[in-house]
Amino acid sequence: MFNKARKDVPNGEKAAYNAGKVKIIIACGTSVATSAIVETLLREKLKDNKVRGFEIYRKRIYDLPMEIKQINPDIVMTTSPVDPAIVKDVVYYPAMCFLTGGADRDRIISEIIQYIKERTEKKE
Amino acid sequence: MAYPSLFNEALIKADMEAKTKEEALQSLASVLISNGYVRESFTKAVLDREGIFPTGLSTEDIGVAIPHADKEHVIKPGIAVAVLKSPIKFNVMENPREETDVRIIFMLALTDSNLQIGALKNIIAIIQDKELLSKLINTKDIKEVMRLLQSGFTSIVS
Repeated sequence: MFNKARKDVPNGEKAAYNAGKVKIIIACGTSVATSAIVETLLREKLKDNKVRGFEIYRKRIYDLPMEIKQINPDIVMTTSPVDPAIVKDVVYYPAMCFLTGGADRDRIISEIIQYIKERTEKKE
Repeated sequence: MAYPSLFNEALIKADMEAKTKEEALQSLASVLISNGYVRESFTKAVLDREGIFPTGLSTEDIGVAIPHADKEHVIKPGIAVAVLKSPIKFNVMENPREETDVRIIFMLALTDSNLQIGALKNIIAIIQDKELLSKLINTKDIKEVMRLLQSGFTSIVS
């Protein structure tokens, strides 16, 4: 159901291009409410797990194609379903479960933590 | 860290009657308008948004909806709450083609301030607290609703 964090070259290149920081876009209808909730929870969990080296951008779903082009994110999360074609080149997670809680949310958080750690622990 | 509560007794409707979700949304929006929280354009914006990005959440037994609109319609942040007399169907955020029975509506008037993060965490805690939700639908008293909503603050780990 969820895209597995890709370990192949494209994302590796992307992360390097992003100067070692994993870029995450969180998008909702207005970019103010549900995405703020998701961002708050995600930041808390990342902090609890001592994960750094990431950047979070809150955007509107309406602007997603343009923002993905401009920001070149590693991970995209939305609180409403989106056309899979828009997110085919990123690691995508539907984030409604952040609002309602449950096992899916914990699983997604673990995957994101893993993804960031793998890409930011390669320090010289 | 102390943060202002976005709840207010003036913004609470207990035991609210409405035949459709449009009626419920209009009713709640007008409470926000008349109390100076949002502009008149807020009502249409909320209805439009609900049509494109529905805000129903099927949290097991008691359905909740969190309708809201762009910050350009908001004058100052606040949350209007309606506890519905009987359930109204809302479309579901996760799958807009699906419907769920909603008993409690949290209409969010938000700007972009970080001060609201604490209040947003509180909303999540309330939505995920089944016991609190069932207490909310069992009261017709505005002061009691307010007390229950405020009690959610203490259960957050900050």
